[in-house]
Amino acid sequence: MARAGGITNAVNVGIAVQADWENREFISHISLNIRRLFDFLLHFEATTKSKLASLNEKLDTLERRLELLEVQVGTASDNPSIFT
Amino acid sequence: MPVVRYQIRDEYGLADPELYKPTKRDDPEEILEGVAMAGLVGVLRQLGDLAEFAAEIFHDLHEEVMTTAVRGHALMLRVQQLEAEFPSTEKSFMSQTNPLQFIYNTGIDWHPNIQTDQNLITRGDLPRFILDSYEESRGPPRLFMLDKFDVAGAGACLKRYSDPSFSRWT
Repeated sequence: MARAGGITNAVNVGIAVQADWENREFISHISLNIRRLFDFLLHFEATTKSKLASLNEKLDTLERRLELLEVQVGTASDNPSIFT
Repeated sequence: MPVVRYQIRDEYGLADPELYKPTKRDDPEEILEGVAMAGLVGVLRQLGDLAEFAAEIFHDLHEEVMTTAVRGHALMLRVQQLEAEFPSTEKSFMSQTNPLQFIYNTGIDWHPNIQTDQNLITRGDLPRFILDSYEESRGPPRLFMLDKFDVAGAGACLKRYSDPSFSRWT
């Protein structure tokens, strides 16, 4: 009886270990996908900041050109004698 | 030197160890169930960290996008104002029949005033993960503890070992 109880106990432990392995695989699968989400967020941030930086660079160029145009139009408006 | 952007903690380390410290140490099933529960709790905390990280990223991006949008809107207003002022100047310009008078003018006495004397490469403020590394790093050595062995008195060791000319060959 004691031997049968010991065998039953060993079988239960084996089943528990197998279930533990399945649980660990499930948890590692979820954790891996969470890490992929982290990686996606980093990639998204890098891409977006790169595009915003190029956009800001274009805005800088536009601001300088616009400033020049404003000065030219302002000078032409204030000094109509240059057209006479 | 690699800089840690964000530390993703292990799911089993995030859980409380009390989950898998059973009262009956001869019950392996209970231990394994506790470990599984600890892993699931750790996964939930990882999801919380992910949400926090995403909120931080999108907050920074939102600020940058708003700044860019404000600049673009200001540019649009200036262009609209310029469009409103331009027809009167164009009318005077187009009414002239002799184009030679535009060749011999002195031009505009103006030069752009672009001041770029600081923060040419780096931003004025540091990202949070770099500030965290500054806070976690060790402080400067306690050189003041060696002052009692120096004949020059208090502050002598700090002055000697932080002087750039100390390492210069003479």
